[in-house]
Amino acid sequence: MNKMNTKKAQIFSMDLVFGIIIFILILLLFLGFFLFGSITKNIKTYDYEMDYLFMNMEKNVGQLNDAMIFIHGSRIDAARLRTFTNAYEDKSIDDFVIGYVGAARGIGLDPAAYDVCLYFTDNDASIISLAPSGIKYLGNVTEGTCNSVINQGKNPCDGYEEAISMFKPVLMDVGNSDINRIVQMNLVVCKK
Amino acid sequence: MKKGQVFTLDVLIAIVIIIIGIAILFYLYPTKDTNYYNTERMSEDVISVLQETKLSDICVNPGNTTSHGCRCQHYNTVQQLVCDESLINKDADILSFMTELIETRRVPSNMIHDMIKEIFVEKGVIDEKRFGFAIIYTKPTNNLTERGYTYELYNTETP
Repeated sequence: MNKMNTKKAQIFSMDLVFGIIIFILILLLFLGFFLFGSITKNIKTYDYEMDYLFMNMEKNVGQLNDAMIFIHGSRIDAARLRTFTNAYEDKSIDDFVIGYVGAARGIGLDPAAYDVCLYFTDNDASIISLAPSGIKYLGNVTEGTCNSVINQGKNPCDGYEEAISMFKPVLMDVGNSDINRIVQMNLVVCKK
Repeated sequence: MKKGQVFTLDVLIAIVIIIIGIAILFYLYPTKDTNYYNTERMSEDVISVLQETKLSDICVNPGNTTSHGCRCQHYNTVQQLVCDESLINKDADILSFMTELIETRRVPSNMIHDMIKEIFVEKGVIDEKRFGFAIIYTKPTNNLTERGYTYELYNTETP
């Protein structure tokens, strides 16, 4: 009887020890996985160049010919934006390489590492058409032009490592005080 | 209680504990969130657009009454303030205009609050569900003859 009780106690102890070991192992595994994931995520989000995106875009657009310089500070010239859109409708906004500053790109980001979509959100949350063709989004992503991808209801940054959304309040200046209004200029940056 | 029941109960308790543990971990460390918003420059951007937008950019005939053709098509509250003959600087930008309103004490401060709310919040330029913001007006002390003061013109947290 005494021998049987000892055996039973051993089984319980073994079971308890195994249970605790397995629980601790799984706990450590998940803790490690999530903590490590969280740390790498924080490092990834600290992209200081993101702070200068709009500034770089303005600087680089300023090197184009006068009719296409659509941004000046917080003011968007709608007519020039239309000209710019017509010129870069089917291209990536990283395509407008600025000649005399070497390989500097339109948006100030390395096209090998990032794709970018540019668009403007109106006061009623609709997206503003940039040209008579009805195009609303400028830029290219892996699946095609931002315009075609977003119009299909897809996330332009699908399949990318990160999506970074940025906006800036700007005056959409159409040259008529009855129509001018402050809107949102948006950049969606897809990091490869 | 039989040995089999004890083991089954043991397994069930272990599974429940593991599930609770995993749920807590998922709550504390959510999986890859791919949408990040950089808000570092937002305050500068808000001030810049107020500074670079003239009243005449968004209003027709500022400084006149509405019966004399003054109107701000997209902004009703701005129109109430701008379409007033007591407006001193008709060529002002929105930021200077706000300063004029504060310094002349021509309108109650809640009108300035409503104007900021109309331009940025009601028109969907800044989504208050996602981003809170405040605009503070500070007047520094002037040569000991005049005391400085601070106005909170707008604050998302203040109803």
